[in-house]
Amino acid sequence: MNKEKLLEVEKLNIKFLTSIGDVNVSENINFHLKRGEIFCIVGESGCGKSVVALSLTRLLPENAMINGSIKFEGVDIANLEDKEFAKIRGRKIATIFEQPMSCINPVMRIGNQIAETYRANFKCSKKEAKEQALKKLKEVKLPINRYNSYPHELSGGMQQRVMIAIALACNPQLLIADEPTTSLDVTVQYQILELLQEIKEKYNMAILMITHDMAVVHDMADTIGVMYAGNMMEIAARDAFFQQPLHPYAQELLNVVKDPCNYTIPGTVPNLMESFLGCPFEPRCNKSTEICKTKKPEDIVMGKRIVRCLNVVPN
Amino acid sequence: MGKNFKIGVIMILFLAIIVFAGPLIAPYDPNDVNMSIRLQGVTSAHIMGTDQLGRDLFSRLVYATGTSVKISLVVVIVSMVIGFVFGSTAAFLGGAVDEFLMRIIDVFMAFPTKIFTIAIAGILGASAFNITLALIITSWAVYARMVRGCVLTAKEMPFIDAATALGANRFYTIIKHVLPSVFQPLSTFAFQRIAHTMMAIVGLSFIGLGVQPPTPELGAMISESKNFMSTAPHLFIFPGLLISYVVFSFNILDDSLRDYWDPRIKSELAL
Amino acid sequence: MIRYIFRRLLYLIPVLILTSFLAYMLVYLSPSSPAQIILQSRYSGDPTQEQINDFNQEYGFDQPILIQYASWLKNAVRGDLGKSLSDGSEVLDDFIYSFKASAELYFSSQLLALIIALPIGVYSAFKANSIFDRISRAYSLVGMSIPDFWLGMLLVYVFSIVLNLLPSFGYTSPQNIILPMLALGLSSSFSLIRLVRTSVLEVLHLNYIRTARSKGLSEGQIMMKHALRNALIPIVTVVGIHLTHFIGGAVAVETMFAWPGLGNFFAKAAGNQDIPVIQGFVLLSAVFFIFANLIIDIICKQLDPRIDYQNEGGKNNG
Repeated sequence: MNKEKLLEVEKLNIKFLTSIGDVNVSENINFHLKRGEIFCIVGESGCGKSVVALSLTRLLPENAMINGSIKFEGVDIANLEDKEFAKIRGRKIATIFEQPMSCINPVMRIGNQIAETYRANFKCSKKEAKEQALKKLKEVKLPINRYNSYPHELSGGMQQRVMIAIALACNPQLLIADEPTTSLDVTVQYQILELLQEIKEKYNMAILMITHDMAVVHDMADTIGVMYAGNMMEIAARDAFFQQPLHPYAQELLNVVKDPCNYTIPGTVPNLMESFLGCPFEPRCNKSTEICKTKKPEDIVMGKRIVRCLNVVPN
Repeated sequence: MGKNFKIGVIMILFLAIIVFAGPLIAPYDPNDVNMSIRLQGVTSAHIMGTDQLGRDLFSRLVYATGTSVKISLVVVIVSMVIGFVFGSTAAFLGGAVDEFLMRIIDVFMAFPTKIFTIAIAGILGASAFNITLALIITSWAVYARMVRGCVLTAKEMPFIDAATALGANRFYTIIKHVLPSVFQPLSTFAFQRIAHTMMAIVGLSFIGLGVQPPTPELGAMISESKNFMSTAPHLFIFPGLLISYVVFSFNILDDSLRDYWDPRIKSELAL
Repeated sequence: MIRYIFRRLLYLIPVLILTSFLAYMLVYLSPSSPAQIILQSRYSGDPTQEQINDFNQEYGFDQPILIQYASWLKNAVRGDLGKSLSDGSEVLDDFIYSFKASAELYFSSQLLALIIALPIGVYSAFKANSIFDRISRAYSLVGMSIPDFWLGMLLVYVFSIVLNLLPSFGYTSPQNIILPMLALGLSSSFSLIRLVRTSVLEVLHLNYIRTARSKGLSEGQIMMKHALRNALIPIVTVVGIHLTHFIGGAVAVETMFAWPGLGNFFAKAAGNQDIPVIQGFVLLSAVFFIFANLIIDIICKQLDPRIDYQNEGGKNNG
């Protein structure tokens, strides 16, 4: 067991049981995170990124079936009893979501929402919790007189700062950020990202970030995971990825970035209700061959890189 | 559709038979007085016993259910039609007309419904016709407000403007697109109101302001039975059970339909 | 806040004027004229044309309707709503007396309904689709189908007639309130259970509940600190509206138990075509109803810090 690895996900399968059939949203996903690393999962909407992120802390609805191993600090947390798991969620792994407005309780003062997190995980007095909350407000650069504000009295960017302060309340080791900047203005986005960087440095925290924004990936990521239709198509270090993406889907994503006005990937994201015989990207892929239609691609490991494509030749 | 839906449909079909084929089911004339057999319990000749005037309780119940349900249906349908005309007029004409019509609706809705109904029923004099009228007067405004809301929403839909811009006749577009979008919520709402109206009718008849004896009606029958509670409890128990049966059959159907229309699949995926 | 209330009050003025006009005009729905009705009750027989003319002149019924209405309203504002035709008592006094009786019965029964419905509804939502939830849903669906006065009769049958434990009707001893309160309270609790369940269930699906879970709160803490407070807003609204219906809302139960409340009193007056009482009660109850609704609105706004008073209903996210 490599001590550096904080989170190690292996063969993660997630499906939703619905009244109209099963939906596979994650197929055999493998990835890992080190302390102090920022790992970005990128992909178009509806390809299962958020589901993977939420599954790590058991935030999916009850009809989600999760299979596989999720090791956190060497312990398989996927099979922990709820009671044991409660000691990790919020305290060691925290989550921030998109649309902060709907994710913080609208009728509770923000300071209390931060303090409450601390108290839920550490036995302490109300006063101590309040002190901790004030400290966190300062850390996310909110004026401490905002302690008694209600969420609707704050701007979107400030609300996201509150969200971050809530997540940081217990000094977690892993922060899961699910599209943290999607609903924000561009300038505010930049400030929030900067804040996340700063905090990461300070606590040597790992961040698992979900986004569909390549610019964010470029600014933030140490490692990048490209997801498509429930499959992790490619995992690569940032520089290697931007220099030469290997998977055709990753290449297409970068093509869009280079010419956002004119270039689009042909076709649309498939409905996950359908099951695929071969590679799910095959219908949209410009490099597909006959075999892609019938055979599912498997992970090809090349040093630090992993690619899930039948046409990539391992070197 | 679930099990509840089936139960509801079967219960309502059975109810429809009682309501519309009542005279064929009832073994006796509901108003046949025979004092020599008054206040009898269950016998082979009278399967639910007889009342304080020796009338066959079962026959009376069959007719009474018919009376209560028919009045509810009339009240709901007429209020729905008035509400539809009033509400859609307000929404289509808009401006000062809408403002004026809305104030009228506000006034009608400013009264506590029961007090208003009782006042009208009392002043008109208690009778089956007057209670129907009173209930219509006090319930149409709710429908009108609802229809107005639906029409306004539908009118704002982009496709109406789009169709008009493409040269379609505006009036025709509205008839074709707006009206159907009003119809579905309106009929669902009206269906819900049947049970509610039924409760109001039996309540008003119970306090003596609705259907008058000797006409058989469930609430009035319970009221008549009050003095015989200790000697002949079946006189109040059976009509009460029937009211509950009728209201329950509408409630369960409404409930199962609501579950069915719920966008369940979306919430299951939670994406 | 003050400005909001002021604006609402201003808006109420035309509604109140139209309402009072409608209340007054109710009399003219009758097939017979007020004089006929009143003289009939006075002389217990058909009045002569001469008596009718005299009466109309004496009480101003020969004046145009608007003038009649104006003088009635002028007296009403001064607290003089006339006298009852049946016993000559002041309408306002009758209203106040029966208001008190109604309020006792209605508030206690609604409190009972809340005590029953809150825990059942919350637990039902918390364990949605469990056996408990299914049973409670079926129970409330059946309960909602039972008329309140009939439930009252069943209670009387069991507790007064069979067991001989409690008085079946009247307003003389404190025990009298038990059965009508049970009948009304149980009756209201059924629909309240469903309302509580739906409201809580709706809140439980919101994003900030997920956040609360991600923060490491236990399910109990999530329920108490996050779900309930928010679910309370629609519940308070509905309970408030229920409370405003206490004028007349309990009429059948009041009649059943001979409870001297507003509903009972009013139903009797309506049955006797006691015109001054009908007009007065309709007016007073409408005024009460309108203001009670205003108060509920204000309370709801207090509970929900999101609603701002300048821009009504504008910003309502979440």
